[in-house]
Amino acid sequence: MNYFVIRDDQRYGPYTLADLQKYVSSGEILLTDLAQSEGMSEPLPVSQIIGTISVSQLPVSGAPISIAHAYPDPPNLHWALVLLFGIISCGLFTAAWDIVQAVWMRQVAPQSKALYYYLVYAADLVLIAVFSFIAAQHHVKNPLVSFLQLAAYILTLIGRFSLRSSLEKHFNDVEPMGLLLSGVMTFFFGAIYFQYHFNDINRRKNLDRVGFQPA
Amino acid sequence: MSHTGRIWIANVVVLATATAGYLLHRFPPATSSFYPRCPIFTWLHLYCPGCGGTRALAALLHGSLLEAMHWNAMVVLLLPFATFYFVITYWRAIRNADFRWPNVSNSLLALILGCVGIFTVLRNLPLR
Repeated sequence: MNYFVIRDDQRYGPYTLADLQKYVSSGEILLTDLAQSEGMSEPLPVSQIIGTISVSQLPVSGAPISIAHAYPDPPNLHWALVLLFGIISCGLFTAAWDIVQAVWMRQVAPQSKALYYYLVYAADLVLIAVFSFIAAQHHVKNPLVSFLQLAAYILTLIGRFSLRSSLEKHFNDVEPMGLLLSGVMTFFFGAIYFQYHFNDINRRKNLDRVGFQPA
Repeated sequence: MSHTGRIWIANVVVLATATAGYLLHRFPPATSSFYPRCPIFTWLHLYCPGCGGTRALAALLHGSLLEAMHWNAMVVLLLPFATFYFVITYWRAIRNADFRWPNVSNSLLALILGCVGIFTVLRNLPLR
């Protein structure tokens, strides 16, 4: 039977009973955490589920949770799909995905400013669409549109490099994974490049969860 | 994210897509000049893989498959795949409390990206 561990409204797992016992012994899962299997209507404290382990061997509280469990995972859509959907939607999907990535960044690092830049960028895109539409209806050229387009390019670049800075800080200080992001790749590929690294980070966190390292 | 929040976002995405489809049908790029130009074509005078995609989608919305293929065959051919993917994603988002993006095999993605690359090269060759 497999169990899911519930902590701070996040579900982790699935784990076998042996996994639960191992992680409780190592302190990564606490006896006070809640766990639930598919057959259980309500989650129960882990202490009630692994009643067979000697309590003296187990840490009761205060043990740090594993890195792989401590923060929500980055969005895990394959980077190639972000690229393809961006092509099909004429770039709109990529702009939306910028915001998805920045929202996740705010969840794990509330001090990150990238989301603000991307939201202003999105508002700028809406203004470009509205002003372009009005100008086309009156068969005139609105110089404000060119200015807004320039502002959009600048805002998206500021957003990208702000997100890059937050990512490097988080994945080298808080969750040390040795993340280094190229400035050139950030400049040209932004969300697609970040997503490539998110896929890799998720793969490594999943390996950590199941308790083995790649060969 | 909570299940309710995910349902809300999924429905907003569907509504936004429907609105974009309506605007594209009502104001096709062939007769409306307010659509932004592709920056790659504007600055480099090269066709990116998405160039002509908006016109292709507008032609499809008007039921003209051949015209859509003329504007951007790759977007037309990828559209059923993308639509199927989004239907599955929407279904999972509203049905499952534990959401996961649908998996696509790496070999299929490599094949599609390879085709996109070949398509991009071919459409920039002076064959006509």
